[in-house]
Amino acid sequence: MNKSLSILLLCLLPYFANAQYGKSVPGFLGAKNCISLSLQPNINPSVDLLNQLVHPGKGLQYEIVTSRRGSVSVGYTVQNIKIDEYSYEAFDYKDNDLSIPNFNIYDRTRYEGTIDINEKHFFIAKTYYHLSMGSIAPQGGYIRFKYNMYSQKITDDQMEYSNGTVHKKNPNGAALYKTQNMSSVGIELGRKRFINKNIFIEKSVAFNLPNNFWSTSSDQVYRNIEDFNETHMNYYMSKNRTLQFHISLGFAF
Amino acid sequence: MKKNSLIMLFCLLFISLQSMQAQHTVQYHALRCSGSIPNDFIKLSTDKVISEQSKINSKKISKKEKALEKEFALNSHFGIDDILFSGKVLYGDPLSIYINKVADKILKDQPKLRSELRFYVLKSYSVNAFSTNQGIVFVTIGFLSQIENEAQLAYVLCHEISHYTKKHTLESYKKKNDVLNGKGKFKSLDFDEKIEQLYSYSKENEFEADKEGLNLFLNAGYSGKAALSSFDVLLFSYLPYDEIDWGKKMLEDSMYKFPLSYTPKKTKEISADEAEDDEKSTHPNVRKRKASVDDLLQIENSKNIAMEFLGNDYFKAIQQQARIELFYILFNHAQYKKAFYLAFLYQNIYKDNAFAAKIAAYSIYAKSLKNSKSDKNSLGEEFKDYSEGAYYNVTYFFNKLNEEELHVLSVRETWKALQLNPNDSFCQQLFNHACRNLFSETDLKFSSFKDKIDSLKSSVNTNDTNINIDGLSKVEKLKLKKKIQEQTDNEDNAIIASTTNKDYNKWGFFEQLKNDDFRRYLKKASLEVGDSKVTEEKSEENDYNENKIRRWRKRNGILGGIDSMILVSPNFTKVTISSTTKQDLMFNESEELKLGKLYEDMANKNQITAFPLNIADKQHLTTTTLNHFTILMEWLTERMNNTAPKLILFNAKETQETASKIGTSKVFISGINYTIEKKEFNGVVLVYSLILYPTLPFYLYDQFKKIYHFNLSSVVFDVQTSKILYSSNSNFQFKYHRKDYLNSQIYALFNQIKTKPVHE
Repeated sequence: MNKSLSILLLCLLPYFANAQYGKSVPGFLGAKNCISLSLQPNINPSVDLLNQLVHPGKGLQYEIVTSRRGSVSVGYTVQNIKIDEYSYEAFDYKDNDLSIPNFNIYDRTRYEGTIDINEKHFFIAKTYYHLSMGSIAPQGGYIRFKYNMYSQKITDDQMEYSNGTVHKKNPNGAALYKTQNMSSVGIELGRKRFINKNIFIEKSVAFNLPNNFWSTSSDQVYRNIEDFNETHMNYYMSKNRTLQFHISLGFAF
Repeated sequence: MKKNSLIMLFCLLFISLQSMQAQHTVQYHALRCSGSIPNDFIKLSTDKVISEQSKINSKKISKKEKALEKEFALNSHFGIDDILFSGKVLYGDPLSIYINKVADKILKDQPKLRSELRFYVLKSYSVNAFSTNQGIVFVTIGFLSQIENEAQLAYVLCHEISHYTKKHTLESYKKKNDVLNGKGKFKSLDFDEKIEQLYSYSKENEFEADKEGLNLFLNAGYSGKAALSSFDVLLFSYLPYDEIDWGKKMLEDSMYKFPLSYTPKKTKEISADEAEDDEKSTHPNVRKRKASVDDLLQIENSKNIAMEFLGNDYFKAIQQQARIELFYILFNHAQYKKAFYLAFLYQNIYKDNAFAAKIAAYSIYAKSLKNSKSDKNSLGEEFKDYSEGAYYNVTYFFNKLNEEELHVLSVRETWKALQLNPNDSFCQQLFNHACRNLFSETDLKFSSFKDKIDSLKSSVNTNDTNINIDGLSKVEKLKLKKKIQEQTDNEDNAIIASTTNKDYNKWGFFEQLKNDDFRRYLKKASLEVGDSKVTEEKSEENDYNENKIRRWRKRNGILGGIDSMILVSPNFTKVTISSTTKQDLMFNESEELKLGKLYEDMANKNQITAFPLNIADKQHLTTTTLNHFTILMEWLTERMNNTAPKLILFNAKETQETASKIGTSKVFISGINYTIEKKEFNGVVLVYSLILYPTLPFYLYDQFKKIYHFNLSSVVFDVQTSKILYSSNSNFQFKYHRKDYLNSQIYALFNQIKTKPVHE
């Protein structure tokens, strides 16, 4: 992620340098820069709705207007999610060749409990405002094309594995979860309304297509419980990121 | 002490003599308002309506009648204020002063009524006068140019005063409402009968105003004969103010003769009929009105003989002033043929050759450049082209001329005007421009024009067989041939030959080329145009650049690069369309006031130096501001009515001076239209959606959904160069009360205007 991020930023520099030259860039009453704080609950039919509303993603976004209709933005979002086995959709892994000590793999093995996930999300986006509908960047309705990069990690594993009689946490002795990377391309449709000269409220809905959506959802053979959990985390987050809602409060200057 | 008194007395006498003399001096410029601004202009229409509506509330009439009167008050006040702020109304000028003096004479015994009435002059070509329920009487310039004496004006004023005292406009409004809504006895009438009723009622009012007006008129001491003759003025009012035969000879000289076919064989007859069918007219025909007034005169048996009280010289000066003003109105509306004929009339009546030549030259110059045909066709009722009588010859002649012929004529006439007005820079400018246009707009060259008699002879010989006889009858052809045969024996043979030759144009400057100045100017223009024609040839590279700029503009919009401009107060209209179309007039007025300030604010934020010309802020309005607004609007009207961008506008100088007085030559004009469309109720769809009840929410959404249209159009002109520097017209769908959208749009507009394009 870091590598691709640095390449992207390098590519963007000349674009930013030339973006406003020789054009009429009105902004909103002259304000061409916007900083906004956003909350991003993920509403997905298969996830725990209440949990998502209580723990939405918290983001910071910077947007710079480059013309009457266009702007470029970068953003950073952090989200800590606590999920249970139901949301995780991982009730049964007896078909997998998992290495869990003290369990007979041929018995039906279940687990219960929660897993904490931490996700850091960076995005770059190009926004087009609907000039024909009376909008002028950065005000009014828009369509935003995004490239998202995510890094996700299981920070706490409180899963209890059981075969009916024996319950065990952390069967491999240590939480050896690695950071997983994911990216997606998305389209965001939104509307930004200025309540005074500088402060605005923004609402939007985003549709993303994660790169690992199919790979994680297909049948796989897992080598160990960490592999199983990480893959499931990826799959779970991919689903979450397909549809996102944003509500932001921002300041333009 | 005694000595001092004597000196003072002399001074007073001198001043009064000066003022008397000044009273009859004709001004050769467009009339403008002067003096303190009347109360009608400094009150908001909303305040006027509220004040009148409170008066209506205190009346002891039925609720329905009150509602109707309030509606009338609203519409009439806003309607009148539209006229007052159209830039066409004059006060404090010589014409208005004269009308007020005549009104003073008429109402000398009724001071209360006099104090209620206000008289203004309306800059309009049409021959009309009308009064309003609020006591305002408008008299048009066209009318003042046509009347023959003070008494005729007095009678028409009396007639209009009677309309006011009898409250005819309000009564007509009520009657119209009753008739069209089929109330009372009008219930069983079909539409045609209802219209007939309205016409009949209107005619009754006119008879009543004629009668009441006559009493007022005779009491003032005017002769009854004038009342009768004023109807004749009305009958022929659609024709120019005089009937003098025009021949194309005034445009010809010894060598330059137009073909015979340029004169109509027969003049069109005058169609005016005093007994015309008035069944579908709001006014009775002239014969009936004259008969009615004549009957009253018999009864009154008045022995008044006075045709004027303010003096004939004064009236004549006023009439001449009105006739001068007519030229400005005609040029504003690109009515060049009419202006040309009026210049001919003016020359004949006032023997003022220099001014008439200038007007005639400008008419032909403008006609030669004008691409649109609005001069030929009618531009509404005001400029309907009734080419009858002597005026018919003029229209016939101009319709025959092609572009090349008009350009040659334009050079000839502008030169003539320059000879008569040698110190007039405008005439010099016109002539120079006409010379350039001759070569740039046509394929003619300097060498095309003949200046020696030898070449004339050869021309006659070679072109002798090319005599244009198309469309002539057998007898005409024979007559023409015989005439030419006879003339060939004379010394002037070539002249006659040229009259029938299509190449007559080449003899256009035969006389003029003898003048060294003319030759030099024409040669210079020919060379200059020849050089610029070469440079104008487009290369592939230019095409590529133009396409590049076009693509850039498509992406980023048009940029102005303008640093300062005059902000004319914007026009705002909100309309709600459902089963009927309604305008929220009071809201419009208050929004115009706010928008003026918003525009100013937004321009300043974009570092544009704004010079506001805010006529919406009526409470702070002055005569100077109103005059500035009028001058700019007149310039704009003239500019918009002329599709030829090269044209030097007739009143450009005054506009340029005004603009520089205000601060800049760039003028910003803008307007906002806001329309709300509501869906009409459809019971059948409701029933269906009730039966298919799951569709009910969709029906309700669709039924109560409103569509909002927002249109913002703006244009920046440079009065110095007559060019449009920036224009935009944007249509959106958003609610007007969304201030962030509105502010953003206006700010962005000024940002576009301010930003300098990089590709230029």
